[in-house]
Amino acid sequence: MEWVKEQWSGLMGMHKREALTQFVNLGLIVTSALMMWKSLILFTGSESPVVVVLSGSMEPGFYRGDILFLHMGRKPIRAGEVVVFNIEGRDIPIVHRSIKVHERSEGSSPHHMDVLTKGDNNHGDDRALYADGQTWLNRKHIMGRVVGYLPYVGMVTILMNDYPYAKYALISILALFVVTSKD
Amino acid sequence: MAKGNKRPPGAPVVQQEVPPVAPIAGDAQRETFDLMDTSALKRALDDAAVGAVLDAGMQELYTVSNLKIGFGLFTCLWAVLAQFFPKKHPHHWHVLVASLVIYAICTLVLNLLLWRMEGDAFLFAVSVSNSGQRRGTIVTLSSIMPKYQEQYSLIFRHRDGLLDLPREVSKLEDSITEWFDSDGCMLKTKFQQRVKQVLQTPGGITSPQIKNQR
Repeated sequence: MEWVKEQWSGLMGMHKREALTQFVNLGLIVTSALMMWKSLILFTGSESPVVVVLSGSMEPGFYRGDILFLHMGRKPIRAGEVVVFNIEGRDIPIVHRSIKVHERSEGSSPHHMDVLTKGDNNHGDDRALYADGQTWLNRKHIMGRVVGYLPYVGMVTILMNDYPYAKYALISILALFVVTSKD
Repeated sequence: MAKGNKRPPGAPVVQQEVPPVAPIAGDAQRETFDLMDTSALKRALDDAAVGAVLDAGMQELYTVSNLKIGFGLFTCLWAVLAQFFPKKHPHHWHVLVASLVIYAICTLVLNLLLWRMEGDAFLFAVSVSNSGQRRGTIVTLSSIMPKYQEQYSLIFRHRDGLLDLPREVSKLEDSITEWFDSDGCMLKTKFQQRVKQVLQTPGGITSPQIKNQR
């Protein structure tokens, strides 16, 4: 607490120019991380190149807390591939395995395909999870296919989501540290 | 600086010994510091050096600071555009590519300019005439104080322009025991007088106020 008070008084004692410079430095740090994320989006072709598994529906392949690396690519989705998809009306994407794929014949749109998914650890397919009236996924729903994973590393993200005040407190302390840093 | 004492171009800079300054009795501006906190001691000496240089009639130059703030904000704007563009990926991939390229170029240019102009300097100052017009060379101040050591070095670099290499370098090197007593009190006036003396060594910058004091 003493340390926080000391840093806060240091922040209040700054000249305007010095404070503005420090905020610009903070902005450059944050935007450089953001741009690295954006370049990853561009490189992988996926809207969210890194996701965390939030449930146990894909056990024993993936466990809650595993980080998954996604890549979209132009190749068609094949049955057996693990994909991450979004459903209209749901905020959180789902990681399941494609079990059936129908592609339209030649002459029609090359990107049109119908995909049915199922979690490895679930009894039935995902039609109960899809939007009302939807029985298949299309390419536009799919964010990417899983190309790699890191076990358990995503537990930090899950804890931050479960306790958002911890996330805000950590970010605030880090930002205060950067802005008041004299080095 | 008297006429006829100008150093011919290409001649090496000779640093003259500056006579030590006697301790000022009752140095009124006494701030106390933790003698084990070398970062705080260095910051205090740097701040005192800035005060001494500005007190000697020089004016702080804000060009580098303005460049850092303006260019930095411009660079951040491209990142904000990439993040908040109304369309989702992949429909706005061309905006994303443009933002990434411009951001990378701006960051590179900013870092190159700061490396060339700023380096490790914490003050840019220039002498001004009585009418307020800038004259003479630009003086930059930087300092070195390795951790867990007591040697403090204050370096004055004199250059003609911000992008030019320094043509003269003067140094003030001493142990911090010269500027702090055993209780951690800073001998600010003594230090500032010493800074002004080094600033006035041959090849240094004179200001109307210092000339009048001689």
